[in-house]
Amino acid sequence: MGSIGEKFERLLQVGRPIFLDGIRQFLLARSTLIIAALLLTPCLLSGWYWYDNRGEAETQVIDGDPLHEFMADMFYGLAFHVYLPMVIALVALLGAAELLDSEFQKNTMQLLRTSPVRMYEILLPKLLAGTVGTFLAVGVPLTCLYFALLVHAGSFGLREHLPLLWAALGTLLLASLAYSGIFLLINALVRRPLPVSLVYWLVWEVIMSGASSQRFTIMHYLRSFALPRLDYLGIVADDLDLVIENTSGNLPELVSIATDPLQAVAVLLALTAVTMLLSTRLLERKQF
Amino acid sequence: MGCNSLRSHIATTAVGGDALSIILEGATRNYGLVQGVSNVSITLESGITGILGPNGAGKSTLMKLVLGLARPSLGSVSVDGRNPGSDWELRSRFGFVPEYECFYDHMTGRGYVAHFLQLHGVSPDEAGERAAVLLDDLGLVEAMERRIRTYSHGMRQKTKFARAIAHDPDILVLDEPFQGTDPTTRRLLMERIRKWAEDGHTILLSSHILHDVEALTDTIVFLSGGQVLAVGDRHAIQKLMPHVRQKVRLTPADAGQRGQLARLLLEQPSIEGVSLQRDWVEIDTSDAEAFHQALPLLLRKAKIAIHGIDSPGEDLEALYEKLVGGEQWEA
Repeated sequence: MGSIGEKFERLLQVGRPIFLDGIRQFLLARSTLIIAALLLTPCLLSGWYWYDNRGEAETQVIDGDPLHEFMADMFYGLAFHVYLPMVIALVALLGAAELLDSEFQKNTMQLLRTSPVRMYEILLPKLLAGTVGTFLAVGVPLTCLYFALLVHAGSFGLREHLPLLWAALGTLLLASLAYSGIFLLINALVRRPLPVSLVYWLVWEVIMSGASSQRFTIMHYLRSFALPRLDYLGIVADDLDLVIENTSGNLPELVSIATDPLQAVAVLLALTAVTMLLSTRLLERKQF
Repeated sequence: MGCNSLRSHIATTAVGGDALSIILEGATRNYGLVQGVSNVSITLESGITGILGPNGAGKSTLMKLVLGLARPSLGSVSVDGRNPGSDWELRSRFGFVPEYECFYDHMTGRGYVAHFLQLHGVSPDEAGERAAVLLDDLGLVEAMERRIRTYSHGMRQKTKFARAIAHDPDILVLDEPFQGTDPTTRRLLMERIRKWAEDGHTILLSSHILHDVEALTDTIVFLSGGQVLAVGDRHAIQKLMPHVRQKVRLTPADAGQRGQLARLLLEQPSIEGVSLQRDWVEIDTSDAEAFHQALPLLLRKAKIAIHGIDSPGEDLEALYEKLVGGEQWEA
């Protein structure tokens, strides 16, 4: 069981059932289904409105802006100011509990611990299930939302703002990975992970992410990753709260503290690796 | 044999044959201020070993130590010379039936067994086939494609068994395996356990139902308050408790000789009491070995033929009560 290739092959073999069951459990969990249904509702309403008024869409102008820009702004607002700070973390939080805490609640962790698998061979498939589950549970409604909004501007709008959709989905993928890692760690760390995860999310990721110490939050790196991809819409650092006030000069001015997008990705990947390492150590040491 | 020497003698006795050995040396496991097990030194080998003791005696803790689910606070546990707490590959040799519910309720019985088989490196197709054969063997052929949440308690116990034996482990750890099962299921599971033992597996079995343990094995570990009271063959343990009062029932071939027999027995120094019953004479002795040695000569001299001798207090339940009640330490 020496080489990395053999270890990877084994990980694929023993991790497969854990991943497949995890993703199924995640997506069929009542909480995931309720959130997905709530997210899909505005898409359906918007789609229905478009269907009812089709034919007029491409000729309309709202507040002097072309309709497609208005709709793209609306999608940007929902994706980066509603989905990103709130929905994704909530889905990942509930999913992590479904993936790991439930193993303790059902006493199946003892069975996993008496099976010939290393702890990382259990946790990595769960991380993958959390990431894919969160990405699908939020990504599908988000994509539907994009189409439901931009379709009002006809095929031109749909094509014109695809970079916005890719930016949203790319950020979502990174967020799914990073949040799944951090919430799995909380599940490995404490007996009541849901309240602790909620407190972490609200205090750290929601409140801190708008403050000067935001570099210690996941949100900062997600926004930093998204910023250059939103440039074409005229979105600047201030719009994503990636600024601090510099009072050293005569007049206070806002200074961007956005991290380079590649560095942001590296930080998020490193953070996930650290959370997995810590979770593995914690669970290996856990006794029953 | 004095009380302390009895304790040390029986507590280091090796149990079973010569296959895969489980060795606990001074193993102590504390849960905060609560002691799970204390200074346990035993060696367990192939065959069935019954672990007996009242609630909170440390039976489950002992099993967790063997499985590596808990690590000893003091002392050591080794299985085949390896540490079960850190050696993950060793776990392929364990099969575990926990006392508690441990299911993915959304899975079918077959899916559940196959899921864990895949963790042993078995391919999905083969795992499914093997799971089906096992569940069929345990009488779950019609239920195996149903979700576990629809299963009765007996079906769940069988599913736990199927999961535990699916990978053909060397050591089976069965914590209260018959709890809540109907007589048919119990008989079936006991049959299987006997068969696995005959195949050379090492089986650790805890049960509150002493009769079940008695039916499966004479090899017992008695636990109370986290400490080992006795280990070994229950008949041997009984012999190692010479000061514990025992009843012996003698049935003469001629019932009219009961009075003569009772008078003769009363003269024996090893006998503390005699009672005359309808068909037999029952004696109380705290030195059963001396009594049994003296008896043949006594009967020959008095020309009394004996139809039967038995010890009503020698069953496992009586021994359990004596041990847990602390009689063995009262010199």
